[in-house]
Amino acid sequence: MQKASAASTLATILLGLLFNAGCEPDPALLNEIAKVSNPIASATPVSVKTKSKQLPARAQETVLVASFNIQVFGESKMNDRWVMEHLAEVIRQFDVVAIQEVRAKDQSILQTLVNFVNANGGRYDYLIGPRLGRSVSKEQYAYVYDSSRIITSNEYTYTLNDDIDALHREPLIARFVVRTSLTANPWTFSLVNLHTDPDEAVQEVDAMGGILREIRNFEFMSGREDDVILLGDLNAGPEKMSKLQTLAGCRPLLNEPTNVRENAVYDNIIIDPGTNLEFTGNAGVLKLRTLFNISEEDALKLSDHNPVWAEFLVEERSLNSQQQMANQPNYGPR
Amino acid sequence: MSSQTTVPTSDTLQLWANDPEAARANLTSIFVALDSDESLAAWATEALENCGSPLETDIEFLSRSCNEHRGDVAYWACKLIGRLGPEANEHQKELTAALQSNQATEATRQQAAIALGKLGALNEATRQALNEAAQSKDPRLSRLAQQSLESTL
Repeated sequence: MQKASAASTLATILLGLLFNAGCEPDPALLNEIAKVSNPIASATPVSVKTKSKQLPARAQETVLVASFNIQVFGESKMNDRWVMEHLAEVIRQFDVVAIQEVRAKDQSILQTLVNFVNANGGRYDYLIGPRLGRSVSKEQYAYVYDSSRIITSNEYTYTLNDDIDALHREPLIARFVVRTSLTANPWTFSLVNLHTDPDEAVQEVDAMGGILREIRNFEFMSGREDDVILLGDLNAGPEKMSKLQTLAGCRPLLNEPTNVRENAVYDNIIIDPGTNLEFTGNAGVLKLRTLFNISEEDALKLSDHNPVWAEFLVEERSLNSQQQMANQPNYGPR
Repeated sequence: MSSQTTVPTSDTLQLWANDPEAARANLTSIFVALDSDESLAAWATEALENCGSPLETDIEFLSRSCNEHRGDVAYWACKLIGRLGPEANEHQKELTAALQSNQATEATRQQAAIALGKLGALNEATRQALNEAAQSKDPRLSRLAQQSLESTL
């Protein structure tokens, strides 16, 4: 994201609230914001290559973003010390983790997880969304992040208003800024945390093509944010993401098994390589069995999913003005 | 559903959630857990999400459960029948009843509409029910019913 003035920050908050409440934003305000050239939705999709499958060590120059479906993260796991200590160690590998499948009546569960993570002196914190789902059984999304390296706020976090009810669990969207002394222009980004219904994954992933495009336009118009990253458990591999790729101009970073049994690609991190210039090319799956040197049976006590991750630079890399001219705004339907 | 079936423990449900074959073999027990403590219901939901198509021997049980409006019982019964596809074609009457039920949740009615669209040829009564659902004020139910009508022409 480029630098935002106090006025545009206020507009960001207002629009975030409006979007959350399902109201129409003020067109005059949108027009004012839209005067900024929008680099989103470039006509020529850019290909993306990942270089490394090994999780790099955390470093000052980079940020590690992850997604982790902690299968039925509820009371049974919260009351198991071995499970909580191992989940905490997973979280400590990353700067930000998007979590799916929080299924707990006890709303202290994320605070309990963060307490385990911080047991060795860390400064992790969390954001959590509302309970979601069409059936009686509900789920929540969450973000756990290292507050010594990442800044965020509930003010910049919202649940998508899914007017047409295309998604079982509407994504939780949050904005983040890297806290770093290495640059005066730290990387800013928005994460879109999603868990599809396995029985309707194809339809939901198709629908996300248009929805992600709208989110990207909204994030850019309201906060000049061009780095919008979709991540989560999509229950679908890249071969089922053609609409997501053509409509939203994004590419999945992973095409390898992401579950503990290593036989299906469920989870992914999806970026627009044309705007997300901070991506280092490193992305992969962190295998729980390898990380802890444990059996498949023990790994399944943690989750049936492995975390997936991607690495980014801490400094904002913006398109130059010539490139921005070539990528004119396109807010209408394609 | 048998009232004799005991509620499985959380640990057992977790094992079944990660073992689709075991989940299919213990479907009735998982359904009991659906209507119990929220923590158990969460694991039961996970087991059903992962179990794939149910066994043919459970079709009658699922068919009866389509209109048991407790917890997520009817919702999951409709969903699992849908996974069976044309194999469950003779059970459209129960799904149609769930689709039209005033006691069913929106989510259950929606699942019934989806499941009917997977059964292959539909009888006139079922098509009529889907036509009515296609006029529903619930946009998702309306859309799903319309899609099911189109997919079963």
